[in-house]
Amino acid sequence: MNLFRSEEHARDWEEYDPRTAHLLRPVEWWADTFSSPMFRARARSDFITWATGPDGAAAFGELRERLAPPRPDVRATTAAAIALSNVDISVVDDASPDDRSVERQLFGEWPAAVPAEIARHWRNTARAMIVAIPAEPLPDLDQQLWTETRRSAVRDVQAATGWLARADVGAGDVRLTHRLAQMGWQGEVADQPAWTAMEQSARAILKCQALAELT
Amino acid sequence: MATGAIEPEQIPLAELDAAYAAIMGEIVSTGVAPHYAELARTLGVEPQRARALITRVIDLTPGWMHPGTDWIASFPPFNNQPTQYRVSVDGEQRWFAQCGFEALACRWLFPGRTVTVDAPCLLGGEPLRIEMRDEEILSVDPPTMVGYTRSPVGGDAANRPFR
Repeated sequence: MNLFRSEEHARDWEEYDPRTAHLLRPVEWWADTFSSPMFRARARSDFITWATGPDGAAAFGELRERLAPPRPDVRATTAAAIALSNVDISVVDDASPDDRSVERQLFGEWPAAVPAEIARHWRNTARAMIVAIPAEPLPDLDQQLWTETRRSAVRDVQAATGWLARADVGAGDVRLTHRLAQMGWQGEVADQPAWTAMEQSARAILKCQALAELT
Repeated sequence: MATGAIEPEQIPLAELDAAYAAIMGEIVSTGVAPHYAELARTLGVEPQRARALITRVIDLTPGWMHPGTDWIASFPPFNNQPTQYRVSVDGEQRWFAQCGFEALACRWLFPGRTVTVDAPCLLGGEPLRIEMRDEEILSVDPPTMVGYTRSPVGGDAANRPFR
């Protein structure tokens, strides 16, 4: 039960076990998890009575449910998100909005278990990534700078996608805004294409999660 | 001093509540868990009774004794034995957390105060820092920080008395 600087650090740790990948989560998720009544109640003067009674049992049951391995369909959704966040950035360098190269790469990586409806929404997310920054640079900008800006935006979309897929972020959840702000996505760019792409990505992920709940 | 046979399972809950609160209160105040002889004085009971209370409280919670001793090693969210998870309250480092996750729960024992967790990353040893106050996560450095465990949270199912 340890903290790491990033997902990559945790996955590179010698004791990392892919079978417990569902327990690799952003620290904010763990902070929420350890905000359950099970942990707050330790300040009570009757903690043992509470913990051994029905309220304590219910609180621990909820905690175990939150930490349980995901169902196969949810796992498939997460796997799709990871595939999306692993797409080679060079694929989107010259892609136009009607380019299918990212989708083709994704479908080559996704597990067969991804339900069709979920796949459709992930495809939309891939397209959002492509349009994060238009392929054609503005006339007064250096081409190399534009390319780097575009690649940087794609990396941000990928990072946010990977994080969102593992976090229980609901619509309107302030943590989404907080996380994007940490990544340098400020409110003043909210009307720009990249922000729109990020929002589309987030919405697609939330939709995927909702579908996974139903299937 | 009479020791008498004490069956920990027969100890009333109210007495266990008082023992738990006293141990937790001592750690919150000082950063250190009491020895059973110290707890006895706090609770006004015989030392052997205090030892039985500690044994039972530890049985009922995810803490543990140092093997072969009567010393509390871990009393979550805190650890009596130092760990890499150093906990500071309003800038004073006096506490250690049982693990990285329990470190995030220390704030519930210090309402209204700023709780900071400092630790090295297990891969590379670079520093990690989280600042919290009550419901609020004030800062996460680096913002990419994650938590991971390959072990069941709360220990193995067979060893969970009330779970």
